[in-house]
Amino acid sequence: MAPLYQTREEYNYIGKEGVRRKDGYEKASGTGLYTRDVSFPGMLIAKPFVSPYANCKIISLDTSAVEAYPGVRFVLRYDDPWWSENGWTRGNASYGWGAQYDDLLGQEGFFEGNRMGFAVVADTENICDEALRLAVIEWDVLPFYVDPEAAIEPGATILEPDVNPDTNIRIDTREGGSRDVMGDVQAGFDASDKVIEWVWSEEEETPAAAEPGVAVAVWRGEYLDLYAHNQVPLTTTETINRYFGGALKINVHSLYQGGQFGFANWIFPGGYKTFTMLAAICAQKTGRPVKFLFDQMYWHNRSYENGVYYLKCGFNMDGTINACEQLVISAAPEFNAKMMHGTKIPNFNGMHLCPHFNRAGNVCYRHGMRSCALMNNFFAKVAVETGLDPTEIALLNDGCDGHDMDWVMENIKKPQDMPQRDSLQEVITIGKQKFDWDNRYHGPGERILPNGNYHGVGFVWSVGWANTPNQYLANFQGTVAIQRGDGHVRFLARHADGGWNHETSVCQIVADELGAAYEDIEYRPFDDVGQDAAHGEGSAGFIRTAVIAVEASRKAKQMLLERCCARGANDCDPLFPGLTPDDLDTKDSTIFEKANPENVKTFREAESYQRQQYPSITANHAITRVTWDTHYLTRQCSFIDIEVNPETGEIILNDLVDVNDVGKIVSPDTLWGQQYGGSTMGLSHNLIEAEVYDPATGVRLNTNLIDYKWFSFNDMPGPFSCNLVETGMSYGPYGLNGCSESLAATNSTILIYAFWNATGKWVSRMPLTPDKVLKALGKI
Amino acid sequence: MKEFTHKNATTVDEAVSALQGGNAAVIGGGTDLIGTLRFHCLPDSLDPDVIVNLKTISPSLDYIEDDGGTLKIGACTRLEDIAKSSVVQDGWTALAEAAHMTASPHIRESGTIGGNICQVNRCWYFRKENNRFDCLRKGGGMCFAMMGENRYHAIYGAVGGCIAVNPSDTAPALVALGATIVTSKRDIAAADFWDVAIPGSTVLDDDEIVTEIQVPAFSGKSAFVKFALRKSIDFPVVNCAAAIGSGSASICLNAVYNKPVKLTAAEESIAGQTIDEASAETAAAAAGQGTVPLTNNAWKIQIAKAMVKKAILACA
Repeated sequence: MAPLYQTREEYNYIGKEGVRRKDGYEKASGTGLYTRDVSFPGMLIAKPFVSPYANCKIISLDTSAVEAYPGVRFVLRYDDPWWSENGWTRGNASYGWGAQYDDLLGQEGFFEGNRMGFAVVADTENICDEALRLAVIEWDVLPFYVDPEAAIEPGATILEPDVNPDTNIRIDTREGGSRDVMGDVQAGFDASDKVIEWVWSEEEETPAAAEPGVAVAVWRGEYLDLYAHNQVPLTTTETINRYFGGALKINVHSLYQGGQFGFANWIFPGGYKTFTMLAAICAQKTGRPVKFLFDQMYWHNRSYENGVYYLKCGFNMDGTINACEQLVISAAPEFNAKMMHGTKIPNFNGMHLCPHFNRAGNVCYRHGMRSCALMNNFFAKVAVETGLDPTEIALLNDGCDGHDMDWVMENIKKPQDMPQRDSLQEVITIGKQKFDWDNRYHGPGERILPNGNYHGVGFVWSVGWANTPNQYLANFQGTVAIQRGDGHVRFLARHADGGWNHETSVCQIVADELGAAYEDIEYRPFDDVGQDAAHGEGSAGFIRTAVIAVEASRKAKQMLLERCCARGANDCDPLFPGLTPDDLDTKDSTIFEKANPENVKTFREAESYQRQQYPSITANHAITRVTWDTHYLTRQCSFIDIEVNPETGEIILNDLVDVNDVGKIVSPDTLWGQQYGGSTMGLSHNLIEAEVYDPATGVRLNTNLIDYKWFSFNDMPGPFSCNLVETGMSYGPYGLNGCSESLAATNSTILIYAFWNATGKWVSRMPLTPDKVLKALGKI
Repeated sequence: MKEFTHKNATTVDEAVSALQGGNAAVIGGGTDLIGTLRFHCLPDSLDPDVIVNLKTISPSLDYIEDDGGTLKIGACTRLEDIAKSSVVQDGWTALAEAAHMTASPHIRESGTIGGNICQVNRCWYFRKENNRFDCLRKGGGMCFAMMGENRYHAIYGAVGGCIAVNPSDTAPALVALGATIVTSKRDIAAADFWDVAIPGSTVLDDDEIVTEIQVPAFSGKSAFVKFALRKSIDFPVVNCAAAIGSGSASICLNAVYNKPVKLTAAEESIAGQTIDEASAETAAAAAGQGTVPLTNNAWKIQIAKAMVKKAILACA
């Protein structure tokens, strides 16, 4: 199986820098429409009450003062008849990643900030804010755990006895179940020179994007128009319709939202569709358009890097890793794909223990971090224990599915007609040269700088995030349409605004494959056109969207050429008399005769010719799942240079070099943006990001961007070098595999090794804040 | 946000008069006040009904003057203007550096020095949205940080049981440089300006307005250093200003107590000494005297020592 669609030698747009980004003008000028900008005549505003306690239940709720407050139009309570009339029970809500039982608007609050009890619908946002404070509530304040390990200690209070009267554990794969197992771990340990065990953990993070939580609902008789954040709008249609009994006719519009995959609303229906659902109910109840706001949502949607890892590794002193075993205690399941499918380590056992505890539900923001943290831990620890250069250990253990790279070459790359290149070798070679690794690398704690700081270097590597268009959601489709009347080309498919310029790369493909001028192509993914695409190039989802763009463009081109050769009404001459589609080609939104390039027509002329006889040119393509034998063949790596100030515990980032094999570059500007942004996120994760909870109440304390520390570009080191490699060794069009937040993930724990290299001290908990550094150095 | 009446004061007297109406607050840049109101950090009784705008006062309180060697800065002068002022940079370096290191460029373009020295003390329990914690500073019965998450809180003990810290960056510079705070009623030495128990942050009366900051001529070297987790925008974990002249030294820490802390022992240690690594380190050790580490903030003591040393060395 060679890469889909071999790469041509020349493209007009694919791979070119400086292509004007499609969302650039609207976002830069402030004219881009976000959901909070949506307004309708007579529209009301709604806001929910949120739990002040980490675990609680309403005993009695008096909302009479709320209802009497001037400007309040409706109060939706947890005991409203609507719920029972529509068959809504607690069971309609679901567990998300994180095992929190997340009801739409329940009687119970499972974490501080959990929307619950009631929602106010009023004329203005300020009226909502004031009215929300007027309810008189009698509470049953219940025991809670914000520490996942505490929740599963023997004798812990059972948080949800109706779910399970015996334990707070929701998932346990230690004795079987859906754990990740490969080979014989014990045999691998037995065959090793050395077997070590250690515990490692990291604190939890919060995601945030440009626009806080919001949904707008407008009923038009039997039709329901929804304006909502999304990753996959189709799933909103499906879920909302199911909640309303399946009788609705729904249009979903996803406007600009500024990132975060539309708050991952496809993941669990009890999570992010709550705003959409509540907006729809409130609009139905009031008979008016309703905009439902939830300002605090960022602070109650956790990312899911946190966890406690119990790790065990067997290896030989030459750096060969024979077996790895991990048990992670965390809310979300572990992704072990990188270790199992992107190395030659033959024996692996990945286990997961998921407790129920009183923090908000997890979503998969930055979820590559988890698998990279695991991988970085194992490789860093082996480097520490063997004293070997970590780049050598990486190359020594590179492979696929437990096989080494020689096996991969003979049994995968050659039979599949893949380029016969070595991705890891290439990215490491480039990175070492650009970083000057051989001169900077040294043993642990061996280099003290003139300013008294410790000097250290770090290295991590990882595996391309997505390798197949099959991955995840395969029901994407899109259409390339040439607009009658003006000839401009539209790509029709909804998708979420991930904030990373993904319309541009799609349009670059359409331009090259259709032979259109890039400026003539429009991709506005806001309107409900009955089709959804995955993300563009800043995401790994591009491996799927690119297939649609290529196939639909090629179909549209063929239709266009056939149109040019077809006779018109009343048997009049075609646009290109006497020629066949094979005699023609396209370029810059024109059709021309190959043998006579002077003979040329514009797309507008072709599409409008004989308009009363022919339909518009619209070409659809839908991805269908196919059974390819796919493998993770592309790699990425990062090098970092740091200083550790022994007096303040500050870690100073001096230099960072990233090298990423993306298979094939479509939009280098997009990829670089994602590389730099991802690296910023990754280093922020290393150094400062952490949620903080009050131990006595379980209340989250750092719910603003002052107290929740988060890097901006101004906190980043310089120089900072991101580099892209194109080996073409992936299964997407042209051999691309997209890029995603890959460097956020790869770099997310790069300081584990770098700190050890600088100081000779191993740290067991991230982020590496000054207090942890000072403690490791014996200063406090 | 609680609804309030907004008044544009045209004179200082008019502003004072507006404050005398009860439950009122002044606004300059608004960078502290608006956030507090927006997130309902305080009980309704403490949120103002009237906000008095000082930026409309005439003659303007936005100026920087070298008046015969005394620096005079209007209370409504923006931090960015102070940071960029060559007058301040040349004569009162620590103050220019402190203004420059405050918050972010956007906030410095809006926030004023009057607001920076009058801002409410910092504690994430006190400032938790929806007035979640009825703490001592709000008239409640306990300090939640004392036994809770206190990694950024006071290392020199509590005041009335409260361990919130004064987060101002310009405050320690003003104390170290011997500034005077001029108000609508009186002149107050900077060292005395924050000397209050909870719930206040300054000694200002309810109807008193800061109008000007005066800093005397200074012929030695001064410096301001700050330790924060982010360079781009952050309150200090610890900051320190030092002003060292011939035979004299003035050193002040902040973000370590409910008010800036003058380090007399460190001053005595370094005054008249040759400034070098050893003398700076000896003086910095004084920062550890009198500290009362809590469960999570002992690291700040080490940071404080490092900042004192760094500030002294910057004056060499």
